[in-house]
Amino acid sequence: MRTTPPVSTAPPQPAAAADAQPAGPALSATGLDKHFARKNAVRNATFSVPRGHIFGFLGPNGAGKTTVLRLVLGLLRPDSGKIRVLGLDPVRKPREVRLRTGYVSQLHSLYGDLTVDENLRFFGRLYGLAGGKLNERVAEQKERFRLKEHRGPAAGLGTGVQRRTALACALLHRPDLLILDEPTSGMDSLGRRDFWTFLGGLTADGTTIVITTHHLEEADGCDSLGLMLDGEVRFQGTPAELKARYAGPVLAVSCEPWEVGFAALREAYGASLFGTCSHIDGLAATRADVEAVLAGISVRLLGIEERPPSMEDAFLRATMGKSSDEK
Amino acid sequence: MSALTSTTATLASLRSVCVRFGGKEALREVDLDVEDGAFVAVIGPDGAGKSTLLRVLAGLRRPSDGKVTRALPKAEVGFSGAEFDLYGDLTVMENLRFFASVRGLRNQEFRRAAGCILEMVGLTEATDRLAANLSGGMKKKLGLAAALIYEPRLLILDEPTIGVDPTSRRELWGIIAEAHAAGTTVVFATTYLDEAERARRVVLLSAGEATEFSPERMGSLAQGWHAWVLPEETRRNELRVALARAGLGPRVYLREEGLTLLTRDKGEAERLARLVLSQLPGDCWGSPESPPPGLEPATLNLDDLFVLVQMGSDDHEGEQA
Repeated sequence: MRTTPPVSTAPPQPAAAADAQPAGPALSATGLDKHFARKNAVRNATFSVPRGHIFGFLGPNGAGKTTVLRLVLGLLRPDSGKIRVLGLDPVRKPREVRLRTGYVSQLHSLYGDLTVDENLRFFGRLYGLAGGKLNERVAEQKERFRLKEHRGPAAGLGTGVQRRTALACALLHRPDLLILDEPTSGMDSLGRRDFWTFLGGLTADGTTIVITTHHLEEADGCDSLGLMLDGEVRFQGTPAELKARYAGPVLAVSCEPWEVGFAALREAYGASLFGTCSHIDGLAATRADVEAVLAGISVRLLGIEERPPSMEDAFLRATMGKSSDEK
Repeated sequence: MSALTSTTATLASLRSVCVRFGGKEALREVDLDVEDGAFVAVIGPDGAGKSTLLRVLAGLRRPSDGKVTRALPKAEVGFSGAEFDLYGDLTVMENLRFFASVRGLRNQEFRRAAGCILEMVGLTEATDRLAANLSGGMKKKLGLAAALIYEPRLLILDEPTIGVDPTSRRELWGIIAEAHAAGTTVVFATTYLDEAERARRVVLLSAGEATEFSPERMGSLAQGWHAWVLPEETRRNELRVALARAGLGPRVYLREEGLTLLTRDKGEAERLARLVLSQLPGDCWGSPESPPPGLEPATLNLDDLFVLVQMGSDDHEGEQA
């Protein structure tokens, strides 16, 4: 273990490196409101994301996440409230904000009839790159995302390659803030691991990342999280804080055949499935309750284990099973 | 082997099935038997041919070579694709009526079945809404309802939960489990291995070739491999940056419990852990003189096995287009 090192060998402090960059969060929203014709899409949303963080933006479909992202990008105007992106107001300075922000939407934003190279060049020009600089950045991204060998139109490429290309397009102009809407949907395990390691590398350079995901084990990889529900930001904090906030034991029930036990426990106590385990809110049922349900049907109980909530348990508890589908 | 010991009937089987698109081989000599009452997951990297395999199995695509046999009429096969493949300009009820009529369901049967299915998938309130205006989760449920409307004996689902929120995913799995508990044979493709764990059989498709990912095979794959965890909660963001800088590939990653390393022995795990730790600012854990990092043995999960298999087949870089 290190014992009080001499000051001269200490690594450079981040504070010393903060040059022209204004201090303060990369992104902040205060009292944000946005109404559409019939519904209140975003209500009094307040949150902030420190520079260099990976911020996970969670919530059921229809909770208002995408609307907030559009407000941040200056694609929509808020009815009221304040947003600052890298210290700038996206309503008044939409172009400045866009030049310093990269955005990858849920739908692949590529032109299907253009090649990887043509897509990169097209987006590069949109971000104001040209000439030698454009060539250099395009080559850099193709190298970084292993895109050199893909020559055909983007529409004919595999999902993974398309996703990498979309990400490359969003990073061409070296944005300070990268916004990713469900980037790993449909990626395989290997792709997801590579992707998260890659994001780690980006934050090392000071890039701030805002990411939405429905796969909550990914939320554990974020520095901080915001949870949206019914247009409101209900929670902001670290993954550990979110789990602590919605703490309380979970009963993990293993039985055989699991699908029969799960169907019964879902009916009785709203169980959810994790692997082949049925999870039940420990505040809603006891071991005896579970045993009673399973005794009445032909399943073999293998075990009931009391566990702390996983991220998904916490999420389901926080949203109380809500999704846009209920509306 | 399974053919000898099997006592249940085979519902569908593929023999030496090949599918070629243009000059490319999407499936190569694939053999697969789906027994009555089976619950089969198909996993594999992007572009491995999962969707093609399911389409051939469902009879939606003819193989270029090889033989497909089904011991049941096509009308008893239900299929729901990865993308939304219903009519956006029809309502929920009209879509169901259309699919029912294609399968020759009479009006009276339809009304009974539709009420039951809509209740099951939780779309009773949405019967008059246009399918195009549904949320992602509701579209998936409608797709499942359309596949279930004529009570198929074989249900084939391509990425049944892609793009849906955790709540809807939970509901979709409730429906699938219920259908299977009621005796429906289910074959599904997924990129989420916690979902694949639910299947009784897992088939790994890689570069167009299928292999059974049976417990025995998984055991032999895991042979000699171990997972180690360096517990870490407070410095996760620094650790993440250090991990990216160390550039050690997908055998070293962060999971909920901390830094995870897949290696053949503990010494190797300690060496790799030091490489990561040496990237931490102001840390001396990485130096060879410092005490070994406190690694704890952990279990290899299905994701880990998948990664080991993919790395072993050195297909990692040469991803399929």
